[in-house]
Amino acid sequence: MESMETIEQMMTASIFEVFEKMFFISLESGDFEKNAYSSAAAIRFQGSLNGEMGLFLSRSMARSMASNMLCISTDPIRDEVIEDCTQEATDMICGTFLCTADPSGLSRSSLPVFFGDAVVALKEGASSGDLELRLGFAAGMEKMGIIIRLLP
Amino acid sequence: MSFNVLIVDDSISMRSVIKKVIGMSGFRMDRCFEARHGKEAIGVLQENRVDVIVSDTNMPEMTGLELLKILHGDKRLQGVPVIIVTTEGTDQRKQEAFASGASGFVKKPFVPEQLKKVLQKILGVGHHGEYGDDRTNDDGLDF
Repeated sequence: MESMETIEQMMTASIFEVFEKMFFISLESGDFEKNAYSSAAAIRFQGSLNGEMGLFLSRSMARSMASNMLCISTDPIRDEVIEDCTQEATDMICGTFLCTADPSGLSRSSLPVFFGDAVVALKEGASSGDLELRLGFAAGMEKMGIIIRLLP
Repeated sequence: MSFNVLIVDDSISMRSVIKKVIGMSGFRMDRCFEARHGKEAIGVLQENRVDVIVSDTNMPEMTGLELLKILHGDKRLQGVPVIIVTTEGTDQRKQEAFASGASGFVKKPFVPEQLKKVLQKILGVGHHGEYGDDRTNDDGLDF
């Protein structure tokens, strides 16, 4: 398996690609700020690589993503649309990451699950033996974070 | 010449994006049908004529590859081209898709031009959405 440093590089590249191509948002690397996020989506993957990934978004980031992806005004956007965009972003980031981290194609991902409360998602804690990486990004005041856990 | 399109994806947002891209690509879209998964897509296909299908792979109820295999076994539907649009973009997945009968493959995330080029190749239309005998791509090369 790749080193965590390599995993971080692959994940960062995947995030930038998805956010720029589908959501037209340029991100800057920052800190994972657990109090900044209002919602999240999680996805599992198994095969050559086993683990799970969570995408955490501030309310304003989630709304901007939906607005940009669908070319609609930010106000109002239905919660169902924001939820769907969040899940789709999670799916794309995980898929792009797996393409790089496991080019054999043997790893498969689940359908993403949305959490309306990021705190609930954060409580899904790591078990001993898991390798966990937390990354934070921002576009101005809009925040997003990723947790990726690789299972032994 | 106008086309009937079926978009199959469990994400309403992604269906909307794909529909917009097709609309902006210069194709004359007559009707655009949508389905949340392969099972729903089969229902649409039983009731309507469709000229091209754009389908995700990872969906509940019935995946895109399962849908492809069903279409391949149906004499009435096996000629309908299917473009797979998926996050599962490895070479193996691509080969699986084409082996199952896909006519095109686009990896998510994508820029509109990527889907547009595949549509142009498959539907055999030029820049301006007009059907012509001299099929060329944007670079002016014959294929």
